[in-house]
Amino acid sequence: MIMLENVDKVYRTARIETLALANINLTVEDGEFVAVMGPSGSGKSTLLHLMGLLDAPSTGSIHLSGKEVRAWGDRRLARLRNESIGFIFQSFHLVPDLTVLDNVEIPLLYRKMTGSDRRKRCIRALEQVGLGSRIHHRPGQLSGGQQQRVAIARAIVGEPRILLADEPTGNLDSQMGDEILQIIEELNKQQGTTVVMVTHDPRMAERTARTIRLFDGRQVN
Amino acid sequence: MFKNYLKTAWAVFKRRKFFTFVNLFGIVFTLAVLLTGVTFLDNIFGAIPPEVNADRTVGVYMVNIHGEYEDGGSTNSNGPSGHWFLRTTTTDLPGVERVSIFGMIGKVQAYREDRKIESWLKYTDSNFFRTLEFDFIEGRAYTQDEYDNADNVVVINKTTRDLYFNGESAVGKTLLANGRNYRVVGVVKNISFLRIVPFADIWAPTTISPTFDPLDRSLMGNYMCLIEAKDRASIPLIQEEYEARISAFDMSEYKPFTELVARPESFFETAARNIAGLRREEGGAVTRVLTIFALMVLLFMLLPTINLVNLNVSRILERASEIGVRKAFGAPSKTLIGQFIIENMLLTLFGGVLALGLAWVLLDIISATGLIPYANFSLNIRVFGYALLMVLVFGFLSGVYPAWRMSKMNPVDALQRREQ
Amino acid sequence: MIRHLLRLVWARKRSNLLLILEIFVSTLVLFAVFTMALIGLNRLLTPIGFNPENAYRISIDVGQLGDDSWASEAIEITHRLQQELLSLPGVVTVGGVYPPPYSQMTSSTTAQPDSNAAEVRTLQTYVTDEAREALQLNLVAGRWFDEQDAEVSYRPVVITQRFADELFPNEDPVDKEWGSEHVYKIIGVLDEYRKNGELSGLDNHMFQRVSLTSAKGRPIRNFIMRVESGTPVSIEEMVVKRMRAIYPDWTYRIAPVEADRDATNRLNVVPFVVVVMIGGFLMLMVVLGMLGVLWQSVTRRTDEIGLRRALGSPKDTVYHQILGEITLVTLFGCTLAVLLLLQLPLLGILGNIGWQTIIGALMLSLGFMVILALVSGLYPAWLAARVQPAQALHYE
Repeated sequence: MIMLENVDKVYRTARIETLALANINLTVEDGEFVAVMGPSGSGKSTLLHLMGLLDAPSTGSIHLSGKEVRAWGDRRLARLRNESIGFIFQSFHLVPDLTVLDNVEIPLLYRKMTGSDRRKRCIRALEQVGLGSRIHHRPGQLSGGQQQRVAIARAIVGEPRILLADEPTGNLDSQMGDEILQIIEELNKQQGTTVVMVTHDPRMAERTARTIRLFDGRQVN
Repeated sequence: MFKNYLKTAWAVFKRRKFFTFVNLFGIVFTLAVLLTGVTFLDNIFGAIPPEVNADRTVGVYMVNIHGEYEDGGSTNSNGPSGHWFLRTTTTDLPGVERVSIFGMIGKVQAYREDRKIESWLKYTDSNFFRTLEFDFIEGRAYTQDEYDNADNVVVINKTTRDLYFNGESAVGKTLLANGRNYRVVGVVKNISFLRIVPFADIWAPTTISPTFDPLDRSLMGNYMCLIEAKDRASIPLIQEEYEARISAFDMSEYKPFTELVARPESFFETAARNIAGLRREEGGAVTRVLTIFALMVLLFMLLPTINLVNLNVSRILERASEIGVRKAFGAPSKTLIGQFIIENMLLTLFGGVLALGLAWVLLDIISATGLIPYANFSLNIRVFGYALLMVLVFGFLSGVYPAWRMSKMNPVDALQRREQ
Repeated sequence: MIRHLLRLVWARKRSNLLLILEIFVSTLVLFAVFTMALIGLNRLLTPIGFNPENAYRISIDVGQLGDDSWASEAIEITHRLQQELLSLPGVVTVGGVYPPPYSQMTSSTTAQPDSNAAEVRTLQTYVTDEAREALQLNLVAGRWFDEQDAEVSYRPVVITQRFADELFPNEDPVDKEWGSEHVYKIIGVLDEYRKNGELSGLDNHMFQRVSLTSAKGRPIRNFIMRVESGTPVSIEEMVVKRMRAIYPDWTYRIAPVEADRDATNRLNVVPFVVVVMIGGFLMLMVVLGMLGVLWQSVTRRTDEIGLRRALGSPKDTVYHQILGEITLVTLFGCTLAVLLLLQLPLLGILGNIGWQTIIGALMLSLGFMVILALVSGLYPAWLAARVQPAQALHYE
């Protein structure tokens, strides 16, 4: 369960303060599939970053599985991210120097696990997204849809309870986008993974159980 | 985990060949210069054959006398000492294996078939060849008897043999230099000019020196002495006893000089004392000189380090996306710092290996210029140890700040930067 | 445009900080290198004041280091040695010179033109009357030593123009005196004399007279022997033989002054070569390093550059903008370095290095640094100019 209470997020530069999120209160239950929608600059990505503990709110509190994470240090947050959260980004963010297998392995590197265990789980995750035959390719040798599937494999290899996806289909054509969404839906249904997906495509949002709408950093329901 | 670091590092180095090259260029150049310098110093001060017993040998290389005039002026003299003085003060010291007294090198000339041969001659006793273990190509050192009888015998080095005897066997033959005839008893391998204590082209018994006067009671003169202790533990005892003798030394016949400083110590201690400008060993000379040396090294390393840090920061900015991903998937900052420092160390280590090769070439070039007679630089295990230390320090220094920047990088910013 | 660039550089001050630091330190290094180079050049261009060609240095080793006694017996032997050498065929003259040119030995003293003035340091050489011809010194005022200096109450000296200028600026130095216990009197002025030759420092110099017929002055342990050009090398061996025949207990050595010159210069040039070489390598490293950093920064700024292009900035404006930014950053780093370096002469740290040298080295290092920075920026700027407007819009 993810719970945000009275969350504000302000970005400060030398001269300007920008209110990215204002007074957000929301709860995502375990196993839910939620879409976050809103125009550009409405704070969608910021919200996702806060949920993923990549960024801290200016005010308010975030609870993850009932735990208040506000005062947590870097180490503890890193561990929580590592164990509980998987990320999928619009621009994939694969490491170009590493093979598909090595990319997927990254989250497991920060756990205590033997090399052969890691390998097994990576291959399983890659098979799950239908890329079992391309584990030694470089990201540059794959199509956009394949790259995003690698990113999904990387997100799920650690078996997180929560999957955060930031416009996972934004850089893909509609057919590939459908395929990706299908994979995410399956994860949600079969394994009960909580999914929060930022999107500006209403067709995608329709397929989720609930949609959170943002406008100018505020929740509009 | 470590294997994964290596893999990433290798992939990064391979992909950005230009960056890797520039990084390596700086590392190799910096380390090669430092290595050359260290080798140079090691060849002056290190325990290199023939000084095989250096760890239990001390020397009275320089004495210092100081006096004050009645009208307020003062006079000070620093340098090698007299034969009589060294001989009398080192007799029957406790814990001593043997004492050797030898002179400063002087030039001698000879003319052979319209060609001038100039050689460095050093007058020594026979113990000189026992405390120092020369590498004899043929023949032997002169004996105590030959020394006592003032026989006209010499030991020469290989180059001298080449010049005088066209490289043929020289033992038993006569060598004419400075208008005197000497009988060659032994030929040794060339000793580098940088080895101040053993170096010469020709070694001859002090007793045949035309200017040698065993009863000359001068404090300052042309001689130094080596004191070889039975073992390392005896050295402090020797120093203590010698100091007691020096403070009891009667200075009344040396007006206006009243103070005398002479101390058995390592050659480096003498040199350090001279560089630091201290008359006596006040405990600080060696530390002071080493500190100055370390500061100079750091100063020289400043620019290469800044350069490397700058490049490294660029390199991590380029990899912002990767770092963002690692952070998002729960890599703790400490792990990221470790990863980067290891990467940097690897590169530095590789650069260090290349630098060893380059230093070797540089030293060869220095030898080839002929500025230092018989320069024969050896990159030994000890120098390799220094090199490794320098590499690690350099790699660490140039990796810390970028790694810190890396760990402080906000994952959100990192992810929003486009990847290349 | 410049104001726009200034603002850009300022906005990126954090990421430019390391670059500025690197330029700052590089300028310091360049300054050190150019100072060395200018000092060396100045030394090379200054005449040495004597002629090392067709001259031999003869050294007498009496075997007693640091013994300055000048016993009448030793003087008499030295005199006989000199007379013997003068009789050799091909010998023009033989003068006692101590210490001889290009030797490791130096003798120095200080002079105080009057009791209120500061002490002036000078190197000195003890010579016999023949030394002027043996060394081919150029007298510009007064006269050289001769017999009339034998029985005077003062110490006659011949000094170099540089020393005279420092002792008695804007005055005719001939017949001027100084000193109380010993009175020194200038009888002649030489245009120049630099004992250690072409690469040595520009020191003052003073000559004192020694006679081989009286016990005054310092012992002479060296002769400079001038020979007619074309005298065969075999004269060396003859010299040593003849001298040995006169007094075999001393050791004699002879070498052409030109050989001493080459040996000395080879040693003196080492610090210059080492500094210039290390400086050169450091600069090459800096250029490559900056090229890497700027390259990276241009790639990172593709969006911004593409946007500029999309908004109508032509290619060469982008090119010049990048180079302009680099120049600004460089000038900033250089200025910091110059401000620091200007403190050095004020604090008197650089000693007697002239103002002209320091200003010259400052200008050179500044100019050179800007050139280095531009060189390292050419490729990144070209890359930037190649960015297509579409590349920026492609992203969000």
